[in-house]
Amino acid sequence: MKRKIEDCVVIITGASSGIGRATALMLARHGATVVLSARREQALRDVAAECEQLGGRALVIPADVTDQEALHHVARQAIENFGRIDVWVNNAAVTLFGRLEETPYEACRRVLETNIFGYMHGARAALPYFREQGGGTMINVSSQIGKVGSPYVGLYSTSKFAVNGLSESLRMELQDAPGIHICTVLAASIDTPLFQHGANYTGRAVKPLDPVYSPQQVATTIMNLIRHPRREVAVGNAGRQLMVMRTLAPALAEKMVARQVDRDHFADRSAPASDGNLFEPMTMWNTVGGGWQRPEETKARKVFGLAAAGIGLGIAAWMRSSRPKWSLAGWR
Amino acid sequence: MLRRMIMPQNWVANFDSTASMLRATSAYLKESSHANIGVLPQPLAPLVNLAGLGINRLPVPWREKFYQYSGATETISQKKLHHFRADKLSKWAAGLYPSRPYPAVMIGSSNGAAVHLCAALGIPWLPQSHLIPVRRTGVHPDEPWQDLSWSIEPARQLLDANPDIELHHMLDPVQDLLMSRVLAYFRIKRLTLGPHYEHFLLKNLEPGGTIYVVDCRLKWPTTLVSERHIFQFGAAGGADFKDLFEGSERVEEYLRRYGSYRRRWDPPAPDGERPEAEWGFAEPLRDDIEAFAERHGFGVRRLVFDQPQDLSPLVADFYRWWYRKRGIVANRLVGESFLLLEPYWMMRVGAVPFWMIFPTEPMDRILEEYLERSDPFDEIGLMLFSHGVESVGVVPIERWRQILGRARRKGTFLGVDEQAFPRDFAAMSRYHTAFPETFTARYPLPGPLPPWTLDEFLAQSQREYPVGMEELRAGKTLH
Repeated sequence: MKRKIEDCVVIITGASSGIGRATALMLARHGATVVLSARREQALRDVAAECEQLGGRALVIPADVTDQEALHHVARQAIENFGRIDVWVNNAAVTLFGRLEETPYEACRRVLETNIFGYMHGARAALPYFREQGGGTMINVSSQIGKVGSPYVGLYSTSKFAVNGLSESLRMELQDAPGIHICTVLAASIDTPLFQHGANYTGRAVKPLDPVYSPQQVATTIMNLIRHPRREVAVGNAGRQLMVMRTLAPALAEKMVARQVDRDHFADRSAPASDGNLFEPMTMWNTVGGGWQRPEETKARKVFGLAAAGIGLGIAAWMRSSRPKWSLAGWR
Repeated sequence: MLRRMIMPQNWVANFDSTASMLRATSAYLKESSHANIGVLPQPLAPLVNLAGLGINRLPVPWREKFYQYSGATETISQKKLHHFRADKLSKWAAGLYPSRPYPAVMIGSSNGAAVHLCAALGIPWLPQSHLIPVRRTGVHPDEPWQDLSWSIEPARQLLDANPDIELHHMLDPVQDLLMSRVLAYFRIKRLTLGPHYEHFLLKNLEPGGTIYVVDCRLKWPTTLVSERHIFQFGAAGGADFKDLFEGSERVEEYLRRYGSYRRRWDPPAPDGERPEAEWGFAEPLRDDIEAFAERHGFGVRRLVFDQPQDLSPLVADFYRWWYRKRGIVANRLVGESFLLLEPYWMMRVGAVPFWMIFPTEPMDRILEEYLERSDPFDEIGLMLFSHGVESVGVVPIERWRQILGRARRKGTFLGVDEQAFPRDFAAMSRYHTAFPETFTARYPLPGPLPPWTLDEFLAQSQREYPVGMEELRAGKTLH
């Protein structure tokens, strides 16, 4: 059954910037009630103010997702204020660039704790309410590198593989509760401040892999999942093709990804070692976008998309006109 | 023919509490629900609901006739009684359960709260008592002497063919007024385990496992007619001994209302107190269980209580304690009555079960007292069994509505047609569909609790329950 966005109470973790912020704003524009959570209270207040301007209701509850009790508190507050939780978006994530053996141990742990334990804590906080309500949707924002590994972001990739596994397992566990949905969003390279926030121990400045997609595309996908829950949805064609290649020719895919990441994931300048926002949130980069998407690139992708669609339609029309006709008398 | 199609087990009375409780327990152990009191398959529930609602719209005399004749279709001719073998019923009962190792098994009194206890522990219950409805005509339900005289020959045939049972012939003109016009209530109690129960235990009870004897001490003033033939006038549920044996204003009014020429009954004088026909436990079976356990190295524990409803608060609190340990809110209570039981949906919606023997006095007060001394419940549901008669002591629907009003958020009847109660025959199937419709919460079926969990609960509980737990013989699974 289609769910109305304006009737929904949606909790979003990592709502202070990037995909979380884009989702909050889009849902607020459609009249939803959003419960915003992240570590940065001031940034959340700014998002809440924007949401209310757009016509939604917003509640700010700062929390660090690595703290299970903090997420239980978020859930309790949502219930106390709005009486129910319709959707929980597990989105808060951190990243780290570096070879595994050259990365500080505590930084490794922190990535896994935030990205895996954070989602697990979210699920443990939301599911009791979903069970009691007999329904609810959990949306786990994952990544396409949770399906295909990647060098230098191995821990991030590991955490997203874990998120995909957690989502799949939960879907199976919840077969007995048809009203509860677990959805996974497999995002490609998205234009968010994740790359500015990320810890970096490579010595080189980082940038997202091309092509870069807009966070609004992910937000739209999340909104569609709220209306019509689906098990797994990919955002971004480039990653989708990579996932297919990984299934068909895994060895070749690994080689290609290794080369492409080495070549395209770094800018041509050095960068000092940084813990990024792993241990403390950054006061900067509270925006939706990270400034990575070049307008000409977007325009080029639109032109390319339209051209591809035109060619596809042309081929379809040609096939239709030249299709042999079948009658009871046989081929003619 | 129809009876054979829908009720293939000969000798099993579908409107008997024992049959329904057995089916509810076995359905739960097979992870399925107890639709249509276990008589008809679940997919037929919508049709049965519709038919039931149609019957509820009939004029009262027609509805009463329907109820009466539906009971009559399940009767056994007295001419066939000498063919009856209690072992067949035991075989049927044991055969309902999945064959697998169980750490414990319950045997004894029929009890709705015990059904939920079995569900929590994931163990079977084997009944001591069964009902055999024997067809008879020409006996007025207000004439216990006539019924007793009629029963002597059929009882002799039955008892001669079954040396290991005791017959409690029961006539209750209060609750069973309609059925008593067409049938005699022969309730039999096993005095020994018999070959089928023994076989089941040897095959399925883990080595050193525990047999729980469900021992309801409810006694009734009865008359010994002959060896192993006991006559019981009246039964638990509504009317008290004074009403039944001495008469009262409310009895006079009841008899007048139902057009009886009597203003009080004249039953045979009781010559002693014996186990109540439907709920009470006959002790010889316990001796046999102990001897069997001794021979095979099983443990024996006795769960003893005076009134059938004494177990209900304990089981309700046990469920609430267990739910809370599982992180479930546990603020939902469902009151069940008589044979309307649903352990599967109780567990799936995270509801605390509170079983009532009948929707008659004093169950309203007992439930109310329980609610008063418990943490508040957000939601309360009630499943009310209708026996078709505005009998002495039946609690009116307004009073039940008042009890539902104690819910903090929502109080609802589950499948009850409030206008039709206590002649709401659709309730027999509608409870099952109303349960998941009313409560949207969905919890998974939990794994069975180890039997010692009950001891753990009792050890930490601050409350006193009128239930005793005695270890008669130590087993291994509890230690």
